[in-house]
Amino acid sequence: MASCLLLSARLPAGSLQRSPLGRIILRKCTTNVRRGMRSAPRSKYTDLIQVSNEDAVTTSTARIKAVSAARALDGISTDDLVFFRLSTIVDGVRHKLSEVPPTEPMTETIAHRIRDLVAPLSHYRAALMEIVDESESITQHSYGALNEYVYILGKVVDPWMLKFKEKNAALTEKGKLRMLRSNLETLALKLRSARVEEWPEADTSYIRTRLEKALNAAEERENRIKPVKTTAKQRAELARIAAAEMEDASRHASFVMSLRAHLELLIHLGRPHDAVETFHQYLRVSAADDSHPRVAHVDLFNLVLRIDAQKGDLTSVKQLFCLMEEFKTDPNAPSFAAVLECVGVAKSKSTFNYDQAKTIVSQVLKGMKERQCSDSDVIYKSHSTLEQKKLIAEGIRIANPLYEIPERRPRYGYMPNPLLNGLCKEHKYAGPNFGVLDSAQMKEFSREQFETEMRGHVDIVPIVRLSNAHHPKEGDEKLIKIAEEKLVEAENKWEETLREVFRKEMEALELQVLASRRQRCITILPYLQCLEQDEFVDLMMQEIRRLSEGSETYTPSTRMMNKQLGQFVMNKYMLKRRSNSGVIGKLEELYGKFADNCIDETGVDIPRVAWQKIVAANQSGPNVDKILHSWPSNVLITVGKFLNQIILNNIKIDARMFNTTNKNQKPLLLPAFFKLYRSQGVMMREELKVHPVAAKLYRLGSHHPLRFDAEVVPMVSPPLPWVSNRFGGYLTSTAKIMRLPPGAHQQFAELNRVPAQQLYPTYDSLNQLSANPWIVNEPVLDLAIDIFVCGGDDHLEIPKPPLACPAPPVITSDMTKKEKFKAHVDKIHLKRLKGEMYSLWCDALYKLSIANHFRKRILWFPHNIDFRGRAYPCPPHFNHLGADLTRALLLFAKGQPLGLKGFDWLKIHLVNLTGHKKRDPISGRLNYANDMMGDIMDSAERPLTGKGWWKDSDEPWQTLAACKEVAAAIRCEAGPENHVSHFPIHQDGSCNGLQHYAALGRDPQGAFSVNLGAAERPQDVYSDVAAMVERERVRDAAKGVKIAAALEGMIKRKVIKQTVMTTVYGVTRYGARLQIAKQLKDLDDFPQDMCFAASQYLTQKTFLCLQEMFTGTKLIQDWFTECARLISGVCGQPVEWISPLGLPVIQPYHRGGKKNFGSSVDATGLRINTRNLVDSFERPNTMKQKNAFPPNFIHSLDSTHMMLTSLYCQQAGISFVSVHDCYWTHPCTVDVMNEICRDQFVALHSQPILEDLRDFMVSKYSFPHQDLDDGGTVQGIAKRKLNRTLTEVPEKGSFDLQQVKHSTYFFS
Amino acid sequence: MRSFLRGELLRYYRRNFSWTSVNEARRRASHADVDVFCQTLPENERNILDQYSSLRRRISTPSSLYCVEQTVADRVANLVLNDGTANPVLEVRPGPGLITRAMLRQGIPAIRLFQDSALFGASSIKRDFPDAAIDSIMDDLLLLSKRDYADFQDPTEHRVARLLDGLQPAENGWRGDPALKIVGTLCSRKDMAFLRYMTSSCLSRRTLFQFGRVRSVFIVPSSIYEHVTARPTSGFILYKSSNILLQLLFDVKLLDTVPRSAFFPWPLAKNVARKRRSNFNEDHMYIVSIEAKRDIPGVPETQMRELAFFIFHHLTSRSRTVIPALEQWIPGCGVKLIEQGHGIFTRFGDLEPDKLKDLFLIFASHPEYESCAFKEALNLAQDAIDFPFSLADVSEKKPGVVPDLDADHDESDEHHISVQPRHRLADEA
Repeated sequence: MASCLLLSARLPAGSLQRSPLGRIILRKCTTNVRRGMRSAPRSKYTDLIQVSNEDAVTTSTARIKAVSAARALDGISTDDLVFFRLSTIVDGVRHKLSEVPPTEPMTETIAHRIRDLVAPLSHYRAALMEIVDESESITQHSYGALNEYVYILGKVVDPWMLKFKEKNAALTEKGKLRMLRSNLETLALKLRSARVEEWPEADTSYIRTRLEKALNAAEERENRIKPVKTTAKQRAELARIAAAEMEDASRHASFVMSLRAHLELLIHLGRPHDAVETFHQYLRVSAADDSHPRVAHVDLFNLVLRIDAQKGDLTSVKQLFCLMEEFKTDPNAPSFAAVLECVGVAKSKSTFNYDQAKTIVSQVLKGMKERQCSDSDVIYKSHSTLEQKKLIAEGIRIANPLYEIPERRPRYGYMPNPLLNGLCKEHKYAGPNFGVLDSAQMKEFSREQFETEMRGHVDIVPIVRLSNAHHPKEGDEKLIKIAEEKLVEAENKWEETLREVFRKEMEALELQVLASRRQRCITILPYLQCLEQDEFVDLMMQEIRRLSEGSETYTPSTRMMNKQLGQFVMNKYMLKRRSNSGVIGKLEELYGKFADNCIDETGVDIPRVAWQKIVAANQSGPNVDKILHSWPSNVLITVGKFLNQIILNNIKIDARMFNTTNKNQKPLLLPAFFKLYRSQGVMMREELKVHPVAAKLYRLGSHHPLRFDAEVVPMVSPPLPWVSNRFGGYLTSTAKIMRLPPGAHQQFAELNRVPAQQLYPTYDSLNQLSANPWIVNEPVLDLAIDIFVCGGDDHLEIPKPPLACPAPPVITSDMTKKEKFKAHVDKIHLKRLKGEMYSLWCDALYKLSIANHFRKRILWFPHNIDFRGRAYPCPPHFNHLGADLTRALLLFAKGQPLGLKGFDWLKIHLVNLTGHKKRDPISGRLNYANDMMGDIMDSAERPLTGKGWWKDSDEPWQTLAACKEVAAAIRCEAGPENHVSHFPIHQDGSCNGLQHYAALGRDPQGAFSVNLGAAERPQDVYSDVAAMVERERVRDAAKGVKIAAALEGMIKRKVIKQTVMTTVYGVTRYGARLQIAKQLKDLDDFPQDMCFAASQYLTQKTFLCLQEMFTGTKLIQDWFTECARLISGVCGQPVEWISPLGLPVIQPYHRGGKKNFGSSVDATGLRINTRNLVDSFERPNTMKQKNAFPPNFIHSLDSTHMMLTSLYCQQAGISFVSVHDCYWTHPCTVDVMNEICRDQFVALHSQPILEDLRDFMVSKYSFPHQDLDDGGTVQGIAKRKLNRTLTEVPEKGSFDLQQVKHSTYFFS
Repeated sequence: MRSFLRGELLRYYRRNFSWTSVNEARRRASHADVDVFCQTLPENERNILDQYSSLRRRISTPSSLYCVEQTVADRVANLVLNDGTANPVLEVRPGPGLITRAMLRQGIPAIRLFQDSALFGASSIKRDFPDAAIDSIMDDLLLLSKRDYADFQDPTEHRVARLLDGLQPAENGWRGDPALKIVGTLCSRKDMAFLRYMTSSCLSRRTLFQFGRVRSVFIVPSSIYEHVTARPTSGFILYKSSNILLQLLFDVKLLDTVPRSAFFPWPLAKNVARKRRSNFNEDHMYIVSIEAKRDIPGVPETQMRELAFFIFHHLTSRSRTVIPALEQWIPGCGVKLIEQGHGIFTRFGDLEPDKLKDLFLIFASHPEYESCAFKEALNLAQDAIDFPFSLADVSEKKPGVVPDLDADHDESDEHHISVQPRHRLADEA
């Protein structure tokens, strides 16, 4: 019967055999099939099945097919439908329903048809009865199947039941039974109401009574049956097996990664034959040796298939397919594509065997059907070029001569999401760079950007020579001259040595490979052949410079250095490969079109859509967004190590170079670099250091400008929009959209797995942020450079050169032991201080030099996100996220007249920056600005010689910039409101983390104190908490608590500010106590001996007060923490969630087994270790997972808020830039942005965020009933606790969210 | 019938079996051991165990051990010779004071006690020996390294000076008799830190060694004994730079062995299968004397730190071959080494401490030694040489520190989200 079939479709075969119900079902199935199926007219519903499998129901052909199929249904007797593949059809429709939004008319029709057909079916009634009959024997196993059955029935009968499954999952076991019962009941009623006349009253009541009886019995049994007990030994054994399986999977995954990189490289090097042989060799080895990691993987097969496809070798392809079957590897769309392409290629050959081709094609088509892989999948999902697509179509035509390539229009729109409903689909925008530059400039700039990126680096002249940091300017000219000469000489010599050694080493390596018969192994050799020798030498010379100019106190570990060098090699190779295959050329062409788009006045699509349309219109030639797999980290390290080893062993320096006393001395050649071990915790860490003479040589003689990678400086033409996870940002790089720690593959895999449309909002907001053009604020830059060159200023946070560091004490022989030791300790302290000063000085030097380099230019910062979705500009040194000075150096390139309110906003912003009037209302700040106008003008005109009002500000440099802007506006001849301003105005969230918590928990008091409620004056949460703590303290002091009395008058805002701020980010009591103790230490009149006790007391009180004020916050935080603890502890999985905008987040904190980090190279330096860290197979670090989940979740919310604001600002046509919770725009558009920001906050928090999180976690992590161990064991209790905790969403308070819309100081 | 019986048995077993009962039984049994042992003790000693009943509980890894057998205490006291220095004997973790009393009975006039637990006091000893100069400090001398590091970080307090207050320098300086004598029981792996600290402070002649040489008599379990006497044959886990340096700078002598059972608390009975194979008897405690050498033949005092760094650096990887490693400092020095009889496959870990010292002397005698990068390396690594304790011992996990959310992976360099100034800015990407 239908139910039997449905059930059998749900249940795994084994379980059917086992359960008594299953056995009955199987028996019935067979008889039914024998009886009824023979006469069934199959052809009638094949169409229908095809439709349900069809990928794009929306396209016109499919539409017609669907209609005809629906019509065809009329002719089918219902019996046939039920007995044959009803389950498939229903499945297909269900699939469609879940994929296509329910508004799609065609799916609707099919759903209607089926509903109409099946609703009156007496079979269903009978099926239901049978279930009821059998429900005496309902066991744990059939439980899920029954649920599923009800679900499917319900779905067909009534959309009301759609939510059933989610609801069901959230319930406890007993609840599930109850739920099931009520659902069956409802179902019976619904069935009845659907065709009332066909359902006699007696029937329903009969069903109901039977149901009740059956379910009662089941419930009783449920309570009676005890789950199976396992012994500790068994559990240990199970755990061991699970661990071994995980280990195995991990080895498999990392091996496949290594082999894939190797094969791809061989293919590209023009040695496809080697690639095929290598692959087969490993297949053989792994088949023969169980200890070898598994090799068979569909990606590897696809690589090899593609080689054959290009040759058109049908026999070989067929053999490979057999091999895939033998190794139990399921082919996917690209595999089918390769075979069909092969047929297409073979067709044009003289040796073409039509019959063979036909069998192959029909087999492929059959395989595709079995795997529900449509032809459009095969054509569009395998990253094939237009030519390949044609070949694939040729292939299909062997079996289906009239075949045409199905048209598939790319989808530009978003997935349905209530947050995005306000975005108009057809809206046309003004180009983000309209008015900033013209077409000719754009052409020139994009050419320049391409050139820079192809070169790979930018040379920037430093504003001060590096040697000035250590030696005064009047340093010995003669010495410098000698050093310059010697450096050139040495570098030439080194280059020669490196070239020679590299050649020899390569020869030796090749011989070694031959001698050890490792031609078919994963070795380092091809990686060293992928570039020209000169290119390697060039990279090594750069590495020498990097090492020599590196800091004395801090260098990355050798491992990091190796990896970095490996990455340079890889980047160079990737670029070369893309450029050779014509990708870069095509990219340049498409980018030209895109850039034109950017400067149009109106009628432009958003960048992503614009790019997608351009790509769709230019399909011929190579694919620009083809994914190149990057080399796994072990390869990078091995390659880097090989090159670094050459440097270490062969670069020598004359140690007597600067010994000028004896001219005839022979040079004393000693290695220029050496290894050093430093302990890092319990581990030792190896670093590469430079011989002091070489360091001196570079310090004195280096003429090299600062060399930056092309990808760490801003772009000079608009960035590419993100259209996929691997395509966007800089023009030629294959950067990823998300910055993840090394080894974190899991989240990226998840990003690739979810439908691309789900990530479009994220891409679009990043594109919006990236598209904003910037310019450098030159007057401020000049001033900053002046101060920097003249020795810095601590007050203005321009670092002093390390020269300014006091000289270390001299240890003389007449000192006592104690003095000597003290001098020694001081020396170490001073050395550290000097190191710190040097790095700060370098940082400022880099920033100012880059700013100086790009003055008078227009800049763009491509953005990417971290794993929580927070957006960051890619260039790390110089960007708008930087400190005060860097922010002051940047202006919008686009200018807009101030307008009436803009001038006021400018003044208010200026006062905000000073930090003088934090508690005053906006009008007060404006008045203050007007009062201080004299000082402001003075600061603007005579920044250094005047009164220096700007220097007392919280953010002096930005204040100065604002002063200058105000002055410029006042001086504007057409009146301030017509002054064209480039100045960004900031609107800052007041304690943004707490704002999100307060909104999540709807805390009335908390919400008010973080300005979610409308108020006359800005509320200050820190003062509020301080007042509450003070109240507690007075109470305690009255009770006679000593420490409370001692703290009288000490509880100031400042003391507890940091603690309040960081509670959101999960500060612990320990950390909070340290923060408070630090503040107390700074108080002059506080008795320092009580510091410890006082800080402990204050910490406790602060936490208590915060808890009282933010009632919901604490509950939510605790719930988050507890969920994360249980998920990582009990399930052994990292915590995962989906942000309201659809970005999947996985916390990348793993235990990182040391076992994976074995040495990368074997003793001969030839073979590459294939063990990589693959985080999907690692146990999570429970402590980190637990502590970090609350702040990370809040960060993902604040990033969502930012993205929403960004998207809506884009639609409103105003400029928008963000520094996390600080939003920037032009003065004249502040009001628009403020409104959007508030609306989006309300919209975001009107979503059931916590409930969605709960539903997601329940569906992902909670254990099914049968997995719950008996109550006695620890595991059983833990699992039950997990199931319970996940559903316990904290209660909400009474705050009315709409108030946010009227709050002036929410963001201010 | 048999199967029926088995089934019955199984059912019975299942009904009555639980791990808690097994553990309980095991604990009771081990307590029974202690009780039986106590019965054999003389009354005096039994009283001590009754007084400090917490000592009777077995602990899996005790953090300190106290002697409770009179005869053993006497044997230890006999080994601490009274050679008439001005300074009191420093006794670490005296506990109930059996060894203290034994030493006082032997006629040692002055003792300074460093108690690690508030459980014990010295008042009864002072009462019993009114003539002796007994000085009790409530701090653990074995944590001297921690106190020293704290002084280094926060120079406002003098934590070390408080412990070593009033001690006199030796009359004949370094070459004379030992200025200080330390007696005590070391117990856990953590106490090894004290030995490492002794090595580093001996090198720089600081804290304990500012007064002159130190002779210590330590009663150590086999796990520590195998460390302090490690040789290349002991395996590379034990034969590491800290142990080698200890043996180079100190004379390590085995004086006597005493039964482990005389020291409380007892360890938990170990699972036999999990026991690590040890060359030494775990039922013994080893009494070792560790005395600073007057000099190391051939190594001038000025080169001591260089020797220490030489060993620290090269023995980081014991399996590294000698000649290639040294050639990386001074190209061509291998010839001389081969002349001296070093094979090209000799590993650092194969050389006895004395041989390593000889190797250093050959290395340092090269004319290029002064200008090669070795000195620079020593200079850069001086933190590791002068304050090895600062890194290894103090950087324990701080309780409850929030993980740094932005960058907490040790290879996070390419993951920089923070806007903090970085050091090697130009090179990161």
